[in-house]
Amino acid sequence: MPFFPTGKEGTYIFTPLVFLFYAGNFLILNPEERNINVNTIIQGILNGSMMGCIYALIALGLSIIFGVMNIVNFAHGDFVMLSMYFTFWAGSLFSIDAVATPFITFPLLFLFGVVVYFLIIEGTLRQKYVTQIAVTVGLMTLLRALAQIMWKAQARALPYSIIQGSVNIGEITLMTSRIISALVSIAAIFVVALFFDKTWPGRAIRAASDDLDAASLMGVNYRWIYAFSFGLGSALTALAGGLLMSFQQVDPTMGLRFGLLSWCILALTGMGSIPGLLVSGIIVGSAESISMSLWDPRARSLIIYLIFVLVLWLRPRGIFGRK
Amino acid sequence: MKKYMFAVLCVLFLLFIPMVLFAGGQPEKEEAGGIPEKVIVGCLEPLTGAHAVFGSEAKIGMEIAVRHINAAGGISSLGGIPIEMVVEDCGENANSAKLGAESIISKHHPAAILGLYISRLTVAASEVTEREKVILIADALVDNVTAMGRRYLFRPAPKASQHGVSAVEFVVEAAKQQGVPVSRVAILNEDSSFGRSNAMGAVDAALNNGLTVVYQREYPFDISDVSSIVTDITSAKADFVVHCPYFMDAILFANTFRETGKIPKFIVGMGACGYTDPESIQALSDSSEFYANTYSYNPAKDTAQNKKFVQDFIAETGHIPTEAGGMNYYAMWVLAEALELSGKLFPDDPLQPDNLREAFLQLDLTSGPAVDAYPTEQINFTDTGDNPYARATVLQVIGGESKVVWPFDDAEAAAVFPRPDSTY
Amino acid sequence: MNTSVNNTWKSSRILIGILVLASLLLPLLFGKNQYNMILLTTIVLYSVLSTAWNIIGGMAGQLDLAAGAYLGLGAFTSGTLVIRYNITPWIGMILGGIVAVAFALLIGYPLFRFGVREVWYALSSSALVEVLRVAFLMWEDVGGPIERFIPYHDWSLYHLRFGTYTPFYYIMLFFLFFTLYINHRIRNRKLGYYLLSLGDNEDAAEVLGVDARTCKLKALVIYAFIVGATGAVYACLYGFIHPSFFSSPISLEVAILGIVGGMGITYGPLMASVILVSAREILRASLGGQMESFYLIIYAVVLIIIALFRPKGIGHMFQTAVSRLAEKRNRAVPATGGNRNGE
Repeated sequence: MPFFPTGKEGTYIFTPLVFLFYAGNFLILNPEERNINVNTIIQGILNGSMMGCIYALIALGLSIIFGVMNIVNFAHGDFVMLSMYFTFWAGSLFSIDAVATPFITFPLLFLFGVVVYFLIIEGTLRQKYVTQIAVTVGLMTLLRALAQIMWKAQARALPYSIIQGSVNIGEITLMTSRIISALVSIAAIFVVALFFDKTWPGRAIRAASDDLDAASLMGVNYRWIYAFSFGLGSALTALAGGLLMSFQQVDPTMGLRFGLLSWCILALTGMGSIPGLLVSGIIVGSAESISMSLWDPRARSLIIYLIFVLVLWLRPRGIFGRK
Repeated sequence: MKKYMFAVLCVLFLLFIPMVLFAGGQPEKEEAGGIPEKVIVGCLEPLTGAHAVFGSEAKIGMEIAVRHINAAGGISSLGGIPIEMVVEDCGENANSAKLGAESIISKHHPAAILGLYISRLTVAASEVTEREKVILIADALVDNVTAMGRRYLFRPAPKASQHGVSAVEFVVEAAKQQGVPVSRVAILNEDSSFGRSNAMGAVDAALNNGLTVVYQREYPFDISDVSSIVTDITSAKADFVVHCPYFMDAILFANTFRETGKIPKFIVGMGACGYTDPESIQALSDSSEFYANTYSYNPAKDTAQNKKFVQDFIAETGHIPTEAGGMNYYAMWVLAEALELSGKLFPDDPLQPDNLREAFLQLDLTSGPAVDAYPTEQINFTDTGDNPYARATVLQVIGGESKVVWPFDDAEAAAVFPRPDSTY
Repeated sequence: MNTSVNNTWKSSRILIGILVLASLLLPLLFGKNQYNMILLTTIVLYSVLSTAWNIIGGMAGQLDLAAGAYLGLGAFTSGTLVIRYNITPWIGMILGGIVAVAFALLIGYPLFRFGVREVWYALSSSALVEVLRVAFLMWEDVGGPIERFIPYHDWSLYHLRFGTYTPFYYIMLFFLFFTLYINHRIRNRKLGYYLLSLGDNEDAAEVLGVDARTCKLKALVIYAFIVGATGAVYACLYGFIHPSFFSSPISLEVAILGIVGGMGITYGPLMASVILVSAREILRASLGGQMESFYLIIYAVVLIIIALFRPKGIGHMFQTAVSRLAEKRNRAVPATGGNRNGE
């Protein structure tokens, strides 16, 4: 994946815009309903940023697939949901802690991604773009319906994880599970960035996404590249899923939420910048958290969508543009 | 030439519709008045979709009730005729609920229907049952189901606001028993009409009992992070929390309370879909300990009829009856009692809708199998269709199992109050 | 291929007349049975939605996943007006359509104007449904979590409330005729050709002078208006309004029906609707508790299979079948001259 500066540029323009948001939120509130104190805000930002790192990891998977194959996997949020269920299964079957499950789920989901690619995605590559997207929409519907059948309305959760606990800094309480998850996510993101920058397979993939014909001439087999990328993108959700399951539960309806978050982060970052994903993730995560605590918990998706729409209105050409 | 081919194919495909429709049912038969051979009762519950877990349990409760009723001689005032149950799935949206109601009525012409568990679906279907004059015995708890002015709708179970009231009353009584002062309450609910109805009842009860509502919050059931809510409850110094969650948020809250270490003196669910059901206990393992919840049914009520039901239910499903099963068990018995009464009052045409409705309105049960399985000791109906003597029971998770702890007279275990792990 | 279908269309007006008459008379056969009537009405409803979707999805090639949003907006506009101010849904329909168009432009305008890829439109529209649902849940004044009932009337043309489904069937049927007619008009005029060329290859079309943005916007406006107006009738059919009307499943279903039916083919979505919605009802009624959410799986699988193997949809398969049969017929007649080997 090429490292353009445009992605970062976009992010740096939006950061002040989004901070204007926080101020706006602040002003709309009903003072008598909320404890507006500095602690709530700081706690919200910190919490949200940590969650944002995990969201960035999820968005990274989406970004890889999009960057290489130009397909936005509509089912990506449901891949996360699937990986969380796999985590639950692995954790209960082998009685291991949630954080240890990625050793099992990562290869599993990689395999799943490769299979999905060969079975479903590859067949549509020659067709109209709409059909390509439609097929991932079908996949999303299928996964969601299957999950509903298998797991119904009941949420599944793993027993209390070893990384759970809390740390008190003054009046602010931070949960260790979030802190550790955020750190692991950041580490993972940088490992992936290094992979694409320094290793031969990584560079081959970047080359293929830049110019497929030239890369083929150099001996790079595009099918395996695509399959590998799809697999990698899916497998990264397994890592995120394992982290999330250490402090959350999973239910069949979660796909939509993670999907929306990933697209928003992707839109905000633009193409090409992996560290940019982290920054966008933190912005989106803290926006979500602050709007939930200061405004209304249901406003979460509104704020994220608002960011999404703003990006589309104000800076679509610099970030997207046509191929 | 092309035209004819086109025409043939069009006609073929148009015939597809009638094929489906003829599967749909015959036009209405004229029912002669008088005593039929059996009473047909409809079971219209969500058997597919997200709420299938409730619907299937409801169906089992109804089936067991029908078995018991028929074994006890059926409807004796009508000559001992049995009840026969027909089942249809109402899906998970208003569209399919209406379709299901139309389907079951046009195919089987039942005397009454039990359903649909989810208030929104019940509202949609009740338009159909009202128009066709079929008695609907609702197990949907949101208050507004009986506020629509439906004449052919009855609800023996305690409504949502009553759950909120029962939750608060339980805490007040338990606190008095233990000599623990409680005066500040926090009220939480997920943002469905059910959650809100519960909350409104809780607020009323709090005010009536002289408590102060120091925190109140409505949130979406798929909320991702509740640490700020938990912190706010702590800052408001609430003595106890009354909560109406759905499944996933119940788990999230329980985990967050434990992880942040900010646990109030007590947390009681009102009509909660989580906390005390077997799946949630499994998901939370020992984090589920000491959580309590209100139930529309008392699995531990000490009467022979109730015990038989519980036994049969465990034999079929492996766990004690949940609300859905219990509610519909006694609802079916209530229907049986109404049929008996109708047979006595209107021996010529007992199943005529207005007659049957009159029988319901004249019911006043203080004994018998329906009351034996019911949380309180009296069942009758006001003209809106609710039972003014309805009240919920409270179960608490003790030692990994849910046990009935309130009303104290009917309890099978002593309530653990306040929580030993509370931190403030 | 396209011209031959158009010729068939034009030359089989009698045939269309027969179909129209048949559909108008169906209630006479089934009208006594309310279950059948609501099933028919549901089929026609989905046909309207998917045929309207065809304009933006099939012809303009934009994967719109916001049908639920426009449906809900129409329902809430008309429903609120009739509940609060006793304004007839006939006016509510128009207003509902306008409100839906306003929101459609909100996401459509920037996207089409700046020429971003279709996928962002798909994502925004999909998110729009969810966001509107939450917004109306939070907006206590008009929405809120508790259902708002539209007052019941046994037979009121003014309030659009009836004790039976038959009037709704006819109303939806006229919506369907109207939408099919609009599809036909667009298809055979400039706008249609422009849209189809955009759907095929946008860059090439632009080089040839097709104004992509205006065309797409026009298509979007027409589609949103129809769906919004349908929403108003939808509310009266169900007798209440609730934020759950902003439903992702319905949006997905409409898009799937449109794609499976054949993008761009006028009667394609109609066929897909009839088959798939009937199939869904058969599944619900017969399998019942055995297979939960099964119909959604069927829909998804059908979509994937069609997308992989027959991306042009059922409508196109139908067209091909008709032409092949016609070919065989024509070959049976001695050729009057020249070769008739190819098309």
